[in-house]
Amino acid sequence: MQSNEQYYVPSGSYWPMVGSVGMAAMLGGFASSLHDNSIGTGMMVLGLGIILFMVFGWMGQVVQESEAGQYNQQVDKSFRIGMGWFIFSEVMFFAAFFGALFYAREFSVPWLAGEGNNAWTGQLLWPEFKAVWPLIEMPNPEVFAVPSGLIHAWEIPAINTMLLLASGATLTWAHWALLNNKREQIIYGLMATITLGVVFLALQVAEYGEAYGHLNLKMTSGIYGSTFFMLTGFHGLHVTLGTIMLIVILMRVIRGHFNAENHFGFEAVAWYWHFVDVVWLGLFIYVYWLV
Amino acid sequence: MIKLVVLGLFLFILYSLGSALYYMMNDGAGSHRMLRALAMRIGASIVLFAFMMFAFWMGWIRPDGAF
Repeated sequence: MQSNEQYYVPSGSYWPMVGSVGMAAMLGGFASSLHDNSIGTGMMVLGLGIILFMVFGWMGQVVQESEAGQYNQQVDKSFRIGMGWFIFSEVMFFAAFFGALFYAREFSVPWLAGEGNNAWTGQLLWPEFKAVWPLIEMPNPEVFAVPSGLIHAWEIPAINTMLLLASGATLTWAHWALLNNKREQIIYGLMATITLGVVFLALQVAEYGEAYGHLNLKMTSGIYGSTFFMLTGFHGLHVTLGTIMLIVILMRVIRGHFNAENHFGFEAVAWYWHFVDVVWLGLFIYVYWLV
Repeated sequence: MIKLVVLGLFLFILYSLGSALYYMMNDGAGSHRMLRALAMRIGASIVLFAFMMFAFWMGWIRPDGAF
């Protein structure tokens, strides 16, 4: 790189405009669908389609420009900073839902049973109510889907924990291979990681089937059901996204992209996968195991 | 005591993950420090999971399920 190459001015791009139109259509469509507007759902799906088109088009262009050697250190740094903000938003997202669960378990549910200075609250609202977590004996069960059982931590969740931990190990193996320019090992490592991710998702689907089909544990099962599905569901969505990103990285590695010195795409996806893995560990401990 | 061990290990995992992020942001491409931090993170996670399974097997912890 030349020393005077401090600034990078990209050429004009229509992708941000396409993305804005997609987001506006999706959000507007969603809002309309909540009002039972007939075109709302269609508009929402169309918006999602435009966003996906934008993601493929824009990212494809970035990959092409990167492979053509058009990017300098400045651009590399800007990608890292962008990833940093994305990660910050992800951490805040999960912190909010873990926080909601923590607040319900440690504060609001005990208060309803009269803890702290809330003796009268307990007496006036539901005098018979006992604060136990998981909260599946509701004071007014007629308005909730009351579960007949829970997902046992040492069954599917423990298997899923092992799968994700194994996937973290195979990904680290692939990462080592990348730094040592062993392309075949990167491919095997990534394939193993993707397979483990897919099996994890399949087991999650089976678990949800068990919860909804047999245990009557649903989103409408009070604060336990809603926090359970909110956290595990969004985590599953992140594993899905991570798996898609790993597949893209695998295809790029097969095509000969990346080398030991230049592979930010790989690093970002690898870190994301490790992050999703740690979120799962938090879920396993605090949601499934209830310690 | 068990909770403290679990919490301590989990905090260490968060620390390794966080330091991997720091190295990714600051080292530039091909950071060996990032990879070492991630390897430490996965090692600690396996230890934590093994510890929890062991504690369950020993009867030290049990899921608080009502069933």
